[in-house]
Amino acid sequence: MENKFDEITYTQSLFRTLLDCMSRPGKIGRIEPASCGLSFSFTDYTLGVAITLLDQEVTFHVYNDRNNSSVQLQMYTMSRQVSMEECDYFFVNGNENFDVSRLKKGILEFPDESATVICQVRKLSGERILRPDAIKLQLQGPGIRDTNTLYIYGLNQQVIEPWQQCNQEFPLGLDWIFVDEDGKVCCIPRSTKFCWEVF
Amino acid sequence: MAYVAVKGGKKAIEEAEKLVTYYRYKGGSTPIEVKQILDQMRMAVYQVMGEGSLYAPELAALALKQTEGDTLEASFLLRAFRSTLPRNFYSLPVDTTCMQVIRRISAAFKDIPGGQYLGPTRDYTKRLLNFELLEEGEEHVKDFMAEYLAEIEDEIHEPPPTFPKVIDLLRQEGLLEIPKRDKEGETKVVDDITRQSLRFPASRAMRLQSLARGETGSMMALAYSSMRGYGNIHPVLGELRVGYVDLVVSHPLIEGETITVGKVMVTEVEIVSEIMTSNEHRDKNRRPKFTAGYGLCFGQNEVKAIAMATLDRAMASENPKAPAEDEEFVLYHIDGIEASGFTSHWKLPHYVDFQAVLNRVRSVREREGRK
Amino acid sequence: MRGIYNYGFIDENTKKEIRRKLLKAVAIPGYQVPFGSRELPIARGWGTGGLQITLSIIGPEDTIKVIDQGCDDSVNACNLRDFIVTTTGVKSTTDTLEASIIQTRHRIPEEKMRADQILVLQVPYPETLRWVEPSEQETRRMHAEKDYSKLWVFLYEEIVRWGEITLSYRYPVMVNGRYAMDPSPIPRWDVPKLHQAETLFLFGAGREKRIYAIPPYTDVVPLQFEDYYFQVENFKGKFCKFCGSTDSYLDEVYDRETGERYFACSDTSFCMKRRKQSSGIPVKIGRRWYE
Repeated sequence: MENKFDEITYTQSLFRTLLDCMSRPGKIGRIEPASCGLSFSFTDYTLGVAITLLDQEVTFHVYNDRNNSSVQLQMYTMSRQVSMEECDYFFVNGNENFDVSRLKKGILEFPDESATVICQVRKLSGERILRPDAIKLQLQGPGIRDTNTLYIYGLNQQVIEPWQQCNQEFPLGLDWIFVDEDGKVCCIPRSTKFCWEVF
Repeated sequence: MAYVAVKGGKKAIEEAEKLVTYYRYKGGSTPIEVKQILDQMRMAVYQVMGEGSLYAPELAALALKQTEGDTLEASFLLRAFRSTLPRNFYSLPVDTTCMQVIRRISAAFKDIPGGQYLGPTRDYTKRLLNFELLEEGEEHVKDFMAEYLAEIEDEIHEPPPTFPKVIDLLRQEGLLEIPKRDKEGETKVVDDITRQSLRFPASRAMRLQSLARGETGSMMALAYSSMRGYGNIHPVLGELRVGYVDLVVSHPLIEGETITVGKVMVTEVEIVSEIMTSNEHRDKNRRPKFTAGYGLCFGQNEVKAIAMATLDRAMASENPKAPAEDEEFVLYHIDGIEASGFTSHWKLPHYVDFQAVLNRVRSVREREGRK
Repeated sequence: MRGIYNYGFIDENTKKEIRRKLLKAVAIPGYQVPFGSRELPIARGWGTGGLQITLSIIGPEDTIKVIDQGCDDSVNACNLRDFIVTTTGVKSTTDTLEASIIQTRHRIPEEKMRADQILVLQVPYPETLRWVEPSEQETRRMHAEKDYSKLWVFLYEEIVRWGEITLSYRYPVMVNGRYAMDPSPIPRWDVPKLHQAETLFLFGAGREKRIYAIPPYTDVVPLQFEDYYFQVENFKGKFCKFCGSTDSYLDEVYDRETGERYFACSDTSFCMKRRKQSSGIPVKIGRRWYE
């Protein structure tokens, strides 16, 4: 019997994981890969996040889109690819160095009208990752009891300071969703303050 | 002490539902057919479609039957049903000059291109209760229809006249102006109030959409306040027309092609408002002009369309002072579903909140007593 | 009903919008995110905001509890619970500890909620500044500029007039040191539960079309003055007629036959558990919120 992809249950479950992780920055959750037959320049886990959040009412931008996967995504979700400056959802591979300041941060009357960054990395962990260039983030703020530690492997360290700069004018800022190659997710909303170091 | 589970909420709801049905049946009359409401309670059906924001005459008639004639409840049923329907297209803008008119009048000019047609209206009938209707039967219907159709036999075959817009007469003469507020606020993509919540200052699209689905009575009251002097709008009816317009959508696959999906009956009103002596209407060449207010709603609902046009104009005022000119005040309070829902919600238990208030009041009194 | 309607009644696009907005709300604690807010077969003002949130997050694995004024059996709670269960097929419960999602009107349960639970609150007035300012445009500016002076003056004037702040429900709080927020018409008794909690709180105002959130471990401080601290309700000398509790929020009730006045726990399932326990029936009662 054919196992049809139940998008309704899938997106509900994936969303609950995102909600849990966004409420508890640094907490690492697990999601299932999407099996909707799309070819996308990211993993099926990142694709899952995309199909859970995108529809015709929001826009996205795929950074350095080599496989033209934005077209597939447009057709499947009915969302539109627009410029970095205009997009609501920004998909990027963690090793890229992109200009964070180009993404929209919201306005004071409507700080929610800001971009969300979906960043695909190699590995996420609450424990030390023994790889060169692994980044350690020490997190504090709403959702965190005292402090949380997060290790990321596969994030370009050039984007971190501009990212911190972005969130200086809270409530304006960017919210980040990290997805690693094994389907682990972790969120860092703009309300989180962090310090970082590279190993 | 032994515990006793308090149960009964569900049962109470079930009994209430049964009682409602009982009240509808106990008179012993034959259940009303939905078709009877559709045919003979046209005005209620139009009102419910307009306030429910769904053009579906049969469903509106069904809703009226279900709610025993409560138009607020019926509009609510329709609105709730509407939100379950998939939305596939936005129609192309409707050209109301192509309307198949059944009624068309103007108060601004004695006669107008195409002529004035009273159409089906009670405006000039004397408001006397017609007791003959108590005895109306099928023979009355048959007799009237036979006689009337014979009378108009010849006229049916005459082509209807074309009806250009009265307001275009003013436009052609260069006398019409778009209020500064709306000129500056034009956006590339039309707002959709069913997808985003209202925000202020509201775009013209948001204003008109909110009004189009607004509750007739509340809109009438606010427009009335404006006409009576709470504000500076003295509307003159440029044109009122009632009729059928085609709804057309772009072909989903073949570019440049269109599909006509059906027709709807609408009432359209354009009011023209008085020349202002303030600088509001003076352009660089210092020539006074008119501005228009626009009203459009489903079916034949003239009071609502006139109220809508009046409020549209009132809210475009550059110096809003009166309630009808305050767009936040108007737009937040004319939705029948929201207003009636909240008005009714006071019937829900509020005893925890009330207890909290009692606690405060007693605390203050206790302290004052100790002083 | 399930046949013709989508899982959870509302369509997937509506759920998506609410889900997107919920993530934003959580990222900006206490800030009111505008949303489209669809009509539901439940009237506006009767919980459609909370309901839309619940229906957007709920899934087959969840267990739902619905309360109104603390009571599972209140007529409107029954109506909402029935709707949720019929449109999703999820299990329902009256036990605070068993539920994964609790939808509530105007009370937070007496038993402390955990990290794996979510509380969805129904909100009639999402705007705390409405106490002092009717215009939405103006209140949005006040939040943007963190200009809460009018609210402080209002509270100060209360003290001058009455010797204390008489606001009893909808007591304004400061969230994460940035946004003044309306915690919904919960009594003062429940306000401290929001501060540095383990659970996530989601607030839905359907008619006003706003969603907001308090993540766990977030500072939520009632507005108060150094010499006039925030206080909860005083039930000194009062106790629950059924379970004897002296430290839960009590309803004042008039007996329908004798006319006699008595007090009873507002949280009926908590009260029931205490009664079972004193009857010798084994039952698990949750911890209190502040221990």
